Amino acid sequence: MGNYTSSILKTSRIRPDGIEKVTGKLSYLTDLQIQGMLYGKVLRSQYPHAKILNISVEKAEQLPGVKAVITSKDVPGLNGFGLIFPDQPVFCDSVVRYVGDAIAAVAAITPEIAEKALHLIEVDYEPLPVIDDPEKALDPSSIPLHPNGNLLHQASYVNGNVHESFPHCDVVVEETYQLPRQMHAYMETEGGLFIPEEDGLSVYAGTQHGYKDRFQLSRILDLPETEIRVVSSPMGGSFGGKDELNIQPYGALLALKTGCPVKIHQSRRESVCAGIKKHPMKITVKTGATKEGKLLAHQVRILADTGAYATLGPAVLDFAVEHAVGPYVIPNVETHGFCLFTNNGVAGEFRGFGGNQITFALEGQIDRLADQLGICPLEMRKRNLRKPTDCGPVGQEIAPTNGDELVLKEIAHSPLLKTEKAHKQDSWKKVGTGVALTMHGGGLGFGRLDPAGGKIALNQDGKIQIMFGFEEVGQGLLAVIETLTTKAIGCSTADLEIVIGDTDKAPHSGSSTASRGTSMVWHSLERLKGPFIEKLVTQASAISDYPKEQLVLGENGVWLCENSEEKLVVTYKQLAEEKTVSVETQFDFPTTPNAIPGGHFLYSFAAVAVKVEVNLVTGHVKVIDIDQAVAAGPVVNPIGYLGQIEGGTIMALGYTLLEEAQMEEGRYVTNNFDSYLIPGIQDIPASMHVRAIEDLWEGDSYGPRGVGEIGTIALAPAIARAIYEATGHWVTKLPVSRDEILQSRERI
Amino acid sequence: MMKKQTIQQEHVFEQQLINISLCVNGQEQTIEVEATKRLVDILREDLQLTGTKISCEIGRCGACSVMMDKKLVNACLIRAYQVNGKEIMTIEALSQNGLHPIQNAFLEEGGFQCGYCTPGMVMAVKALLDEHPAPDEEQILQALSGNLCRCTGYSGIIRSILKMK
Amino acid sequence: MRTLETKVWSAKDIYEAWEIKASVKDSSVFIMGGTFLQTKWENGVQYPDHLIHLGEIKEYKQIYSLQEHQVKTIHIGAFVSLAECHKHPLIQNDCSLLADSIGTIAAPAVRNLGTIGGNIANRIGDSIPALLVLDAEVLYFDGNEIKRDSLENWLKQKEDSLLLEIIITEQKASVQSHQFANKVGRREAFTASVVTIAGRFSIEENGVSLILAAGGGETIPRRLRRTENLVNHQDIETIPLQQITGELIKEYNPIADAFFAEDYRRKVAANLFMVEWEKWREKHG
Ligand SMILES: Cc1cc2nc3c(=O)[nH]c(=O)nc-3n(C[C@H](O)[C@H](O)[C@H](O)COP(=O)(O)OP(=O)(O)OC[C@H]3O[C@@H](n4cnc5c(N)ncnc54)[C@H](O)[C@@H]3O)c2cc1C
Ligand code: FES
Ligand code: FES
Repeated sequence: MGNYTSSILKTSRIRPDGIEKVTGKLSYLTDLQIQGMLYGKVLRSQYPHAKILNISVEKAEQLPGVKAVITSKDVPGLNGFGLIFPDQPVFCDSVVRYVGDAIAAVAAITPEIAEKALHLIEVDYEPLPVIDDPEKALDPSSIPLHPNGNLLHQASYVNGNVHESFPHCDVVVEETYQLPRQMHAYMETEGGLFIPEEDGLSVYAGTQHGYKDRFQLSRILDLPETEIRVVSSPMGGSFGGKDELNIQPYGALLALKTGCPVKIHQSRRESVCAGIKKHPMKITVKTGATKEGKLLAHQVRILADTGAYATLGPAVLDFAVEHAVGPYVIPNVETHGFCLFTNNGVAGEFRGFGGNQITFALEGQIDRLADQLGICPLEMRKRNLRKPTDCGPVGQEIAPTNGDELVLKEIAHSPLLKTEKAHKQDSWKKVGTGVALTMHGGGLGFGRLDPAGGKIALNQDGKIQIMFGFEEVGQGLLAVIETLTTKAIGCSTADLEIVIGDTDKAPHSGSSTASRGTSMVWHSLERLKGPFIEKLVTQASAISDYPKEQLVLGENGVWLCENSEEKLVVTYKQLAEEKTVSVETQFDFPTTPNAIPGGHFLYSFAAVAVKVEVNLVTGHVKVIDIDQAVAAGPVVNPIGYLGQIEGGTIMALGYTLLEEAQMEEGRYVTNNFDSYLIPGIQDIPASMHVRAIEDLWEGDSYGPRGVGEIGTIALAPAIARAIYEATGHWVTKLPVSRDEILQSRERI
Repeated sequence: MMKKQTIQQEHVFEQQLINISLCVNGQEQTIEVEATKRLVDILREDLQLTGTKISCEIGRCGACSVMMDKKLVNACLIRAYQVNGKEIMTIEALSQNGLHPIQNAFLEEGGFQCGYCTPGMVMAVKALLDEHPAPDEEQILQALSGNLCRCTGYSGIIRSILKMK
Repeated sequence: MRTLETKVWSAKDIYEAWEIKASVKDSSVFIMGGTFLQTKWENGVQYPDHLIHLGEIKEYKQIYSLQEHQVKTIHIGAFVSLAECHKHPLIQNDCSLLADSIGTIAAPAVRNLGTIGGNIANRIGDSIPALLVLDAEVLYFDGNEIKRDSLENWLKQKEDSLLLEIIITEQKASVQSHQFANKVGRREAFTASVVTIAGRFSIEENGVSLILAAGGGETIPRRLRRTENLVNHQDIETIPLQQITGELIKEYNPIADAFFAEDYRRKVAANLFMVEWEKWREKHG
């Protein structure tokens, strides 16, 4: 055991937030408490779909200790929110569309009283038929959940002609893949503290984009954005799940209504019920190839269950459509995606962003074709791989890259692929191995507002402040900022002060999502370092009379660097006493020049090899070894990089084998960690290895790519392939059903 | 068909208050609390010890792990009436004299990311090492089986423990 | 669930516990570690108006052994924590089947709180199948007197009683015996049981002997007597294995949930039985 290794040289410093985290001293925003604060609670719907006939709050208001009960009548601005369009009511007053819909909120002097008050709010419902399946939603006879019907978004990509080319294929494989509703399961549930201020409101609540929350809250509260301060970091995990607003509107409204600070911290049950999830998808694919193993045609239909409201549903679908052919060249492609409203839990942003689902289908097809053609799966992939300067998957111009080729070559050397397949001890255990490949776009893509930026300053105390509007969700962004800044500027960590996640202090940097954080910090510094260093050395030169060409920034101040002589010329503190300095930059995340909505420009790659053991007594699949190669540019922070890949991999293991936020008729069956099972320490393989490929294509000037998502994509199809090798059964539905495995054995 | 949300019968419950004495991180505390108040709330709210986290509230994640009379327990499952006279140790006690070796190992080997499971995880590792100073594979896997971590995938945590061997 | 609207009573001894129970008008329940009860409440079962806490009772907190009629008996106090039970040398050495099954319950922190009495008294605890195979007896207080009976009988009782001790009589050493207790959960550890099956094969003078018990999830564990009878007194070489697993599948009556159907559970129980059978055959030729 404990064989968890990597090719990455470990040189990391201890991460800046480390000591506070391991000692328990770090105050998360849900740990904050202040004198006189009230406790907020939200009343959620009793029905997945119903008309609201009446709401009466009098009894709740009369309960001693209750300070406010609010409903839609108390929303001064827009009664709606949503990252793309605000179709989710802050409070429902005429119809509820899922069990997480809010109807009222209470502030009281204790959490117990607030809870009790919720039970005293009387709501009369008229239940409506529940649309719990996207196929049903698509049926024209179903009742429309929104004014424009049940089709939230449709996206397509067509190239060549699949219908004409299928007859020319030597083999054609057709399959339907079903992917589950995964829960982010961040350990810290949503919550925070809301403090009314003389000139507005302070919001201390985790999110992945503080400025966006400020914008959305300003619309709801009808307050100018400048009167709202959002402190959004640190967070006990997010994985995409806290990007959309959650409890913020309620905390904010209650605080403004009562004039008191209000704390809300959702219970796990509330979090499950109201929180967003990963999109369940049903993907039907028909793929054809020649007997030489050349892919000719690929036809894809994606049906995504987006639940009751839009949030980022359209963007997730676009991403899945874009990645339908992954890193392969297929001359004829036809992809149609449909994102449908249902009365199920809301689906939205989730680490992987549609990539997990579509890659499971794509890699599944490649494996099935390879199997039918008798071609080695690795070879099959190699034969169809794009060339480094080829276009992207939807024919768009992208930054040239051979990451796919490199990871594939690397994984071919994996020792686990050469292991003995027969099980040594137990005749009822079967062993199999599998490989899969993925290509994953970074940033939000073409046509989406994706501004980034940062600021660097020498402040009055002589500290170099580096400021980004990003959040620390656990991904190690602080360590990335520290590493990149000290390297770019030349100062030491002690000279540095990092400011993030506070709209009053940090500039706009865009969202901490889409694997863009690391990349955007690097890009910002590329722009900031020149002018900032120039300003400081000019100033130092004026003070010291040394020519500025001989001056560099270093530990504690500006140094003379001439021939072999090195000496401190002037400290940052001295410089700051003369004059403070600041440099700011704003730019957009690089996107493809082609007008393809959501089309990406920068991609990262991963190839995974996995070994599983299938227990034929119980149908249980145990992953025993994982080896993976990742190409995402230079490694900025070794421990952080490894942690993202390993952690993402185990999240993917859960997705493949364990996790599903199961719903029955629009209600969650899995309400807490007793029934929603994420992997525990005994579920992880005894051995894992990560190989980082840092090379970029010659002339690539885009620096390190993020690795937040790439580790979560390729494991599922690799496991499916390994199960096939072990049992002869192709899995098409996740999480893998043990019952199905047992039944498949009976058929043989 | 119309459905009324049923309303619980309104009856006023007089909370039963009890006096409890307990020793938390070496300090004697005597407090008056509701008899069924949870230890995790007493720690976080009455004693301002927010290092102990809360995540599932039903003993299913280990974020609230503390030691009671030198044994690892879930502070969300224990109520005031069960803690009178007990000795409680929380994450805050571990670094009273500088970083504990477990904490150093977590820092060096990437035993945490978001850090939310970390206090509970560190306490569980402490309980493990108190019992087995040089734990084997089976012992590590057993000892940490009740502590969930969503960020690290556990490998960094296992590396941290192996490093201390 | 935060602070409850319930009154807590603490009993000095079992008699006082019983008196309190008899004296309170509204709903009440005995509570030890509370680990099982709290899980129920969180999942929507209404908690009672009174909790009668047994944790202060000084007796029935030991594990010890006695010689009774020349055989060794092991006595486990009902208020002993699962963790203590798991680690105790008497259990580790003389009742390893029980030790193994306790090792699969919850996780260490929960086992430090939960008790063996609470595990049995909740009727679906994972320790029960192993205890049934060990032919355990219990000592209990029914409000009038302290009685001793087999665990199997006690589990069938409808009336309230207080469990005081679990008594295990040391098995005659049988050279060719093989015992097992398997729990299959939804993940590797720290999970509710889907199927729990325990058993013991041995060769007695009059042929093969089998004791078999199964439970899992919400299924109340019980002995599978019809399956046992098919095996007992048979010649090991001529035992009709197919027929036996067929009977097991009929006799085992698991309760389904949102995750696993009855059929799956039956199949797994039968498969586990077969594997153990093979292990036994291999072990003893
Ligand atoms: C996170 C978690 C995981 C769990 N996992 C498992 C598992 O894997 N397997 C498993 O079997 N259980 C599991 N449990 C349930 C529980 O922990 C165990 O069954 C434990 O043994 C119960 O003991 P307790 O002292 O806490 O019982 P309590 O909750 O106090 O009581 C349980 C029931 O027994 C009654 N009772 C208690 N003591 C006595 C007595 N001496 N005489 C008569 N009646 C009594 C009570 O009235 C109550 O009805 C889990 C619980 C939690 C919280
Ligand atoms: S909060 Fe106590 S175990 Fe999860
Ligand atoms: S570090 Fe985030 S849950 Fe463990």
